[in-house]
Amino acid sequence: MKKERKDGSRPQGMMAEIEIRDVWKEFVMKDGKLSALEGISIGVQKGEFLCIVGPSGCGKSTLLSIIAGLTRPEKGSVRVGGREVSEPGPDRVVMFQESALFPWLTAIQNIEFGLKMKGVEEKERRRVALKYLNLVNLERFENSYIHELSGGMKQRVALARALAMEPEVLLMDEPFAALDAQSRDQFHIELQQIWMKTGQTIIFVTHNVSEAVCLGDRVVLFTYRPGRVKKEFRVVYPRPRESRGVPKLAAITSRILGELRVEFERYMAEALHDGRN
Amino acid sequence: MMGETSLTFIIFLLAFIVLWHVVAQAGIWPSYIFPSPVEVLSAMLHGIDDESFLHGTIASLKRMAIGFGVAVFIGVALGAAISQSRVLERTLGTLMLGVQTLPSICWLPLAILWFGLNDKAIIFVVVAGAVGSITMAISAGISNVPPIYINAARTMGAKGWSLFSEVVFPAALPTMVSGIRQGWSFAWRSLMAGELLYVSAGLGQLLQMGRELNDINQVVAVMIVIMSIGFLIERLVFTTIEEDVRRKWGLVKHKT
Repeated sequence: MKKERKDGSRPQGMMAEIEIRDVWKEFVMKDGKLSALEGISIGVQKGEFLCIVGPSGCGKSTLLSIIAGLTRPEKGSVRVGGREVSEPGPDRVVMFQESALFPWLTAIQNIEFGLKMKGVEEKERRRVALKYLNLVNLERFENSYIHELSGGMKQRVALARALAMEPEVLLMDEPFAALDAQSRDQFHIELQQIWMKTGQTIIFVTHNVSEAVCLGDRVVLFTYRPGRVKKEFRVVYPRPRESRGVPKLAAITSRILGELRVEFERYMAEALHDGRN
Repeated sequence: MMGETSLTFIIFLLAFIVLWHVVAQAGIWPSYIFPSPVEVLSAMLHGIDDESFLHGTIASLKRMAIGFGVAVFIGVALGAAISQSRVLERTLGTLMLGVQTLPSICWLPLAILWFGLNDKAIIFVVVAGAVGSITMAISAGISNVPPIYINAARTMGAKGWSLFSEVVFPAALPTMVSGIRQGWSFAWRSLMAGELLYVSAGLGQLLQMGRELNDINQVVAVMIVIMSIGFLIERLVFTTIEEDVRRKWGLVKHKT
């Protein structure tokens, strides 16, 4: 299922693939409760690339974990493809911020893992895994163990592992945060190229605003603790976009950064206030 | 690198034996108190020649095989159960920690009362010596599996038994192997202590016999045999497995 994205627009006329409705989440801490998410409602279209940005601790990763079915909200619901999320499932694969690859398996075995869990037979598993290993340009490292790979290569394997599941929805939790700037730029281009081919719905969480603007059809900005949706920005620009040196994207980035600064000042003022009490 | 380590050790061993010989020759102590390496060697050859060392070793290793096997079986089952239940961890887990502080030979009187003066009593002591550390290592290994592995596996559709066998178990394996190795060395110690205290073949008994016959050469020779077997099994079997696992898992720290 290929979609026209040359003009950078979202696919038209579709119902929301992911429906996040009034999600609340709090954590019990030693000194009382900590509200992480307050009344989050977001709809994501099928095939949309949605980025969520916000300061560290704004609950954006928690939201991703709720969509994945790994965490339960106190209130509210998440529907994916019309079905309410109650547990993790292979239709919603998460790519984590640090490498969650299994060190006891080789690169190719890691990619095959989810297919094995699905009960795909061995030959087919290997074929699909090789296809995705090629897609991330790592075919030469098929039989390498994870600790033999560099940080960037690890995240490539992790991406291939997620893609090999061919999930409806790909959830990405700051997957490039630990990479050097050069590898990250490279990844941004490749991820867009891959996504243009596969057409998955992606929710991408990051605290890096220019990354969000480079990748997203839409960027949702969260407030600092408790996390609420502060503002939404639509990014219309042809793909694959470069993450640097594009005036239009840079302009959106600086607008979002401005909003973030306000958010940061609010937070600092509150922290100062709390400190005095 | 391994060759270099072995070479260093062999040179050290030779120097040690030469020094030992020199001190023995100096005649500071009579030879029934401080034997020379030559006498110990001849006692060792004698023991090998009349096959008493061979039979002793076989008897001891047989007990080890049974006792250690049972300890691994119980330890894995208990450890897995404890790791899965907070209640079990707080009850049985704590009890195990307590029991582990009891020197295993303290189980012998109880074992003799229960089983009588026979192999079963000794094997019981071996099991009691090893089961605690194996249980705790299995349970710690499983409990300490990084949650990110489990979460990643769950989002890829792993659950129940496949989650355990494909993710939790391999992730816990390095800790488990270390615990089992440690269990083995506890078991070996327990066995020797048990065999020393009451007579029924085995290396411990040969040691005790040496004392009764006032034959210090045999005592030292048997000590060397016990140490060598313990060292070889620990080095050749367990350390090899442990290092293989750690290397494959990428846990090896490179020494500089």
